[in-house]
Amino acid sequence: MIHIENLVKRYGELVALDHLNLDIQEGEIFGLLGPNGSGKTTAINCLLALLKYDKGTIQVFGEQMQPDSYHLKRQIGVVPQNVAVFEQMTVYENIDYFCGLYVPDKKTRRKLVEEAIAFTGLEEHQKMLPRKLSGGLLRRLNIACGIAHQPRLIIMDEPTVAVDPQSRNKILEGIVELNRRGSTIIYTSHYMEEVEQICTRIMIMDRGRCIASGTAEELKRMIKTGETIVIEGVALADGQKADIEKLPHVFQVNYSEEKVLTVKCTSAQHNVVRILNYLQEQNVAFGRVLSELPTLNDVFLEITGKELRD
Amino acid sequence: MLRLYISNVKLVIRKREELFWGLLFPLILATLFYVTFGSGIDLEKMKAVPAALVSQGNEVFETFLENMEEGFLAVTEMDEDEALQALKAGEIDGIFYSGEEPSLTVAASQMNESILEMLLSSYVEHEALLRDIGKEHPLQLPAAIAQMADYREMTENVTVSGRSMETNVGYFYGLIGMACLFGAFMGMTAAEEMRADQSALALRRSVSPVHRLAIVLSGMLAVFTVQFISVCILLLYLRILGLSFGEKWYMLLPVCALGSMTGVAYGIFIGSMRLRNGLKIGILISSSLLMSFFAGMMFVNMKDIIEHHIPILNRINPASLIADAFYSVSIYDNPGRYGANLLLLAAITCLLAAVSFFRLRRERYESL
Repeated sequence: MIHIENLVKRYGELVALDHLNLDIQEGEIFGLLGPNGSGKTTAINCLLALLKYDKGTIQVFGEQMQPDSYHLKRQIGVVPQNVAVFEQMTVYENIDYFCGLYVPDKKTRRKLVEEAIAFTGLEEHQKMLPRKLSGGLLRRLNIACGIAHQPRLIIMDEPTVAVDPQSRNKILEGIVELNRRGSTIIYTSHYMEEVEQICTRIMIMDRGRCIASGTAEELKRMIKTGETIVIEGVALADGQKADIEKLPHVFQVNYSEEKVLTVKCTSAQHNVVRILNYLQEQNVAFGRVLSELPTLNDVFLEITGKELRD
Repeated sequence: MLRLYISNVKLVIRKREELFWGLLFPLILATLFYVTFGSGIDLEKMKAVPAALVSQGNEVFETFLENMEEGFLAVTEMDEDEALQALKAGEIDGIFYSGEEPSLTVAASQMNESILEMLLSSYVEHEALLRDIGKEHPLQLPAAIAQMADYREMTENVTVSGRSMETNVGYFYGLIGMACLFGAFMGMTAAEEMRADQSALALRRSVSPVHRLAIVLSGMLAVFTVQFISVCILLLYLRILGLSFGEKWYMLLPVCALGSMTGVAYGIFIGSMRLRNGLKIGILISSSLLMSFFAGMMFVNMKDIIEHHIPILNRINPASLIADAFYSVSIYDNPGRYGANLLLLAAITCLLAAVSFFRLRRERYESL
């Protein structure tokens, strides 16, 4: 459905997109994950033919994407990062206005607008002006304006920024439902949990480059960390840290002044048992024990050496 | 396109802040002007200013007064005592002495007296020329005086039937010029809502399948419609206040239409620049007010002063052109001058609109 090849975008000396390659298939929820400034939005804007780029090709629905590719644009819905609605129009009027840019027929449009309102749960607010809406409702209106015409491809650029957890969950559920109804979705975010929760395939970006891509599981398998074990309230004596490092599958041990032991292991069974057995053998008391499977942040951290969330 | 246009008109009408500058602010100023200056003089009812002439042998000056008499000046020849008594009794507003150096005595400093003073200074300004003509071609003197009057009409906006009207009416004409230019506020916002590198709204519109030309034109037309209606409301309000626009008032509608277009185009021109919003508003307010000031909205003689010293400024200042077109229709009845003003306004509008359109038609940006 989307094919991007060798895309390069420079802002003077700064390389915003560095030979980016990307393929998205119909029916996917494709997540673009990366810290702020990693090039996610720039890639989207190039894809939408809003930004000039220095090199590369972009194809949407098998055709070269140009600013005047109106027949392609007709099949795309965009939910921009910043809320883009008219302050002077009610919720209904806003959705109707933007839907009207795609669907001229009034009767068809009315049906679509009503469906979008129901889909985003804005029924009770349709006569309200945007300034009367909470942050979460405003984000939902922003989404409704982008999806009302029921596009084949929906591009959502960080749609949950500054949204409360309840609204966020509602939005995420809605995105999955849109996909279930047949839309392909490109979803950019720097929230790894939500990308992991809804995306069928993920590309992790940093400094304009793709550093890894695949399903969440595939990405996690790419890294050494299979499990992170955190044990609180441990009083280790000299040499015991070194002993733990020598245990099978353990490749990194940190012991903090707060007496928290963090052990990183490769993927294997009974990692926790092995460590706890060692501590018991050594008569070392310990408190709470946590075992965490790797996250996308671990993937990012291991590949780039820095946290996904700065 | 029609649906977009209608939606845009609805949108512009709901933007209260811009409607304040485009409609309410000029109405408030008009009310203040009315309270301060009154509504001007009804041209049809204007009476001739009575004055006495004490003949002291300056034939050229006497011929000058004779030629100026028609319509607005009623000069009676008297001896000095008689004239002074008439002035004291309030029967006349001033006494002209036609000596080697003509002079004027007035009792007070009212409007009529100002007219007489202006007439005298007008003569003094052209005295040498008139004397030469009087000496060499005495028969041509009345024609030369008449030509002088025409010349002044064309270049100085000081007509032989003029100062009293300019004193009051000029403020209102300047105000109409300002009202047209204030359409720039709506134009600026419309432009910002068309450039994807300036607002998320514009970005959303830019990725829609609507042709760029349709987006830009429907936006421009919508703003122009609202602005033109606002100026027409102002005109109607001024008429209700008692300001006369003369018999050919309908000729003012094209002026308002073109003036509104200029204002909107100016706003779109500024709005399409990549500057901070606050800076753009500052530029619009200061430049619109400055142009209105040059057109005589705050100091009615300003336009004349500029005409004397930097006439080109009056040719490129839209507010002056609008005010002057009003003068041409309502006071001078000068179709040539009216047409010239409209042409200049049209040229300025086309230039601004073309540059703005060139900027707005862009669909791909270097950065967002």
